[in-house]
Amino acid sequence: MVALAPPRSRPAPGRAIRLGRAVRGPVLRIIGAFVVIVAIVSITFLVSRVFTADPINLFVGDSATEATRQQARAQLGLDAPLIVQYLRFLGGLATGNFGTSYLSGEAVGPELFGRLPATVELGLYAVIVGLVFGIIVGVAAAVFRGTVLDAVLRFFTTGTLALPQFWIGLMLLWIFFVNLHLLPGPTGRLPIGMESPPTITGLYVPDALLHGDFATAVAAVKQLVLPVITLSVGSFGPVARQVRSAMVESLDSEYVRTAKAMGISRPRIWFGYALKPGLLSVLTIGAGLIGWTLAGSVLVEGIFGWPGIGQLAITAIQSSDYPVIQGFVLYVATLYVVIWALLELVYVRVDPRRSA
Amino acid sequence: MSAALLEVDGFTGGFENQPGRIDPVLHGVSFSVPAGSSTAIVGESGSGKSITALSIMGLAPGRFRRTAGSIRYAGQDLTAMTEPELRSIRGREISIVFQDARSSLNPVFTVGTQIADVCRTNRGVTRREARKLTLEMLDLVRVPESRRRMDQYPHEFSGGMAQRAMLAMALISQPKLLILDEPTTGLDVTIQADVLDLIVDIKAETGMTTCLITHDLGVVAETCDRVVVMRGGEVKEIGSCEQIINAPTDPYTQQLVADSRMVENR
Amino acid sequence: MTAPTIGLPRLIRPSRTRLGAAGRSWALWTGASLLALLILTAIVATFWTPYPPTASGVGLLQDAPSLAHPFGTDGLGSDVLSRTMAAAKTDVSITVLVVLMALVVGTVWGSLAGFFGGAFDYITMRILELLNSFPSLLLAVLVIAVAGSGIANVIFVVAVLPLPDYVRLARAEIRSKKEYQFAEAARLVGRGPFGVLFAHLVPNSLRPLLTYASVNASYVASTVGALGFLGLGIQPGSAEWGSMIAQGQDAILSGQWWISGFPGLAIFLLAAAFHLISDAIADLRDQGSAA
Repeated sequence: MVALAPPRSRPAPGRAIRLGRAVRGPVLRIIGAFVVIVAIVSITFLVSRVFTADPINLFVGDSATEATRQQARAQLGLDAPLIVQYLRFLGGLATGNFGTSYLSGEAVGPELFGRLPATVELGLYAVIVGLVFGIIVGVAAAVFRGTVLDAVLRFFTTGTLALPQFWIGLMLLWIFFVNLHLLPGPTGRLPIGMESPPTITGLYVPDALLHGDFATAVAAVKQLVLPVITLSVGSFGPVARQVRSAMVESLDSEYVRTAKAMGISRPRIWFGYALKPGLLSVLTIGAGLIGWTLAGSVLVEGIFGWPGIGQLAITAIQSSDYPVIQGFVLYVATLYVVIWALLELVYVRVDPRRSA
Repeated sequence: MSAALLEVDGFTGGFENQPGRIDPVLHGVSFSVPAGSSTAIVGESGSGKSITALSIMGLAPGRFRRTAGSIRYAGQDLTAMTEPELRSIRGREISIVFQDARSSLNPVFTVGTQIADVCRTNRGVTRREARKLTLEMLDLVRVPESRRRMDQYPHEFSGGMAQRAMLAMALISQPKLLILDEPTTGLDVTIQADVLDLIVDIKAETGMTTCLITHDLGVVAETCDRVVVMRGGEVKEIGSCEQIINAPTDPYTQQLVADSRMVENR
Repeated sequence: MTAPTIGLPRLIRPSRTRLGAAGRSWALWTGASLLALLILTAIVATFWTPYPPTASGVGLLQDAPSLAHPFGTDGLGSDVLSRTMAAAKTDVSITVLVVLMALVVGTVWGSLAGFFGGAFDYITMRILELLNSFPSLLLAVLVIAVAGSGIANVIFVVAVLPLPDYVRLARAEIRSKKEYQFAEAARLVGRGPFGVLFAHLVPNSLRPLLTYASVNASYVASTVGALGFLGLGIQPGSAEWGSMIAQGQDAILSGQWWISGFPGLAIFLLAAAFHLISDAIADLRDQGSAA
């Protein structure tokens, strides 16, 4: 037998070096994220200026004289060279000034932030509902694979993947509002005439509950049911599929066989021993999940009269209201970058093999 | 010798690779494991020894079909049991150590969590107590630095260390019968010897019944008192360890013994 | 049953064990028949529809489905069946066109990058990363917002969105195969690099690409519909399923479901057809690699 050389001990790095190493990763990532955001915003700015017809028509109407047009341009700063406009725009962003909506004349920043809670409340619940049901259905389909239940669930999942989301929203309204009168119509976050609860989180349901106002909470939940279902359909299908295929693999694994041999209970095996390794693959589609939900919110908010960012964006797009579109792009880009960073953190936590 | 703890009686079955057609792999396998004994099942790969072991646990692959025979544990027919009944036997009464412990342990839970989980399931103790028992058990199977080790993940364990952890997991619910399915295959020779020593020691301490499944007669000679020789899904010979090694009667056994001598003398 | 021969890689033997073959062929046949039916509808609609699809007032306003108007009439008194048929022309052809474009461009681009590597490959990967960091429907909406709506823009945008996936898939396939013996053999008998690549490597890499193309097609169908619904796709007036749904949006609240209902169902059928086909192809592949 060959005698093994004793492992040579490396000198332990000094504290400053260790600190530097720990900080370098996140700092690089933040810088990278910042660069991505600036790049995306810049591209939209430049492309929109190059491609578009004169946005001045939005202000002055087609019949306006050239003099009025010039005046309006000067007022909005649209008469300056493109590069100057761009620098002004970046400077504005740096100081938190997102510009002014051509359409409403309101500042874009406050408008976006004012609508954020509505979108967050809808999107958050939808992601949770989509995830929970997707995981349950995926696990059930994998555990009972090859049975009638699996076939039914598969049929259902494929159905939700193929159904156009905006159409589901309309049909749900037709069934539950028009015909069955079970749920309220598309009047936004609360029935018309109802006061919104005093703001704590900005989300109506928890706010109302925190104030002990059950009537408002119930009304808000009822308003939420249909839009949340509609929006969650977008994430349910992909999650259910991903969970099923990952679970099928891990249910056949040696480590699940071990758990069975040790007498571990079935629910614990399904939702713990088999699901946790499979959840990693759900995380990898996590960013896609957020993307679908965001894109879906643009469609769904319009249908349900939901006063969120999606609705604002779609109006802005339809009427070429560039400052608002810019603000929306910035919002999406930021959200996306943040979500990616968070996912990476979660990933390392869930998969021990990654942390090494 | 005392009454048999486990009796496999005329166990026959095969794989249903195509619907309605069964390709047989086991032909009337019969043997018994007396209480307190260390019985070895010896055979080359494909002899049906592993599928027999899995059948005892009720964990044969989904395609496997039993066509005849029974497996009785302490008088109860395991093959007639429902899944919940089997679950109350698994771990608690009969436990198993698989080959290649590193892939038999769950990659995304710490080793300690997994062992403690088994402990809580089968012994009904609190989370804290389970952790304490796990620590004791890891010490017992000679995992160094057990306190640090139990919070590590399987990929941070070496093969031999993982096999010890696997052994701890199988032992923690104090089973009456422990099946060891090729527990040392794939380990370095020195580590193999360590693990075998450990098994012999624990067996001596607890008086537990063991059933060792292996292709290696050398391993058998060191650890077992009874030997069942299998080939091609049939039992060829059953006897005491001494008799099988010194005076085998079946031609296949004779050849097996001769081959392993040759390896040893090489 | 024999495996469908579309782009079947010559190296992979058709599998012998056919567990669940019945389910798979069901999916394949249903998907293929649905698709054939929709294509047929689109072809028929170019020659004949029950009523002129763009004419208003061929029936009462918002009339419920009846024998004369099986799908009812819309708010302008147009026949919903005729419009749905005419829209099949738009939606089916855009979907097929878009997917073909993306498939061809993506395959060629990805194959070249995978085969030659080097700086071209490096630049390709950086572009892919950039494109991939953005949610796709949103990108479509934004591009159309800045570039203007219209059929050409819609086709362009919806085809560009999935391009990174095609490129990445093709690149990975080619990279994994280019050291194979049959590629080596082709090289030895004097085939030039492009000959080896497009006559041998690419045909052997088509199956995963086709599977993806099929899934992609169902998303394209939904996305085209969604853009039409938002009023960003096809010019209003010409029939398109998404914009038809938008036109019926208000009528639904007063109970006239059919104006949006039938076009939505049509999008669903088109998307479902592609989903079923891709499931079937994907299962075939699993079987192939398992055997």
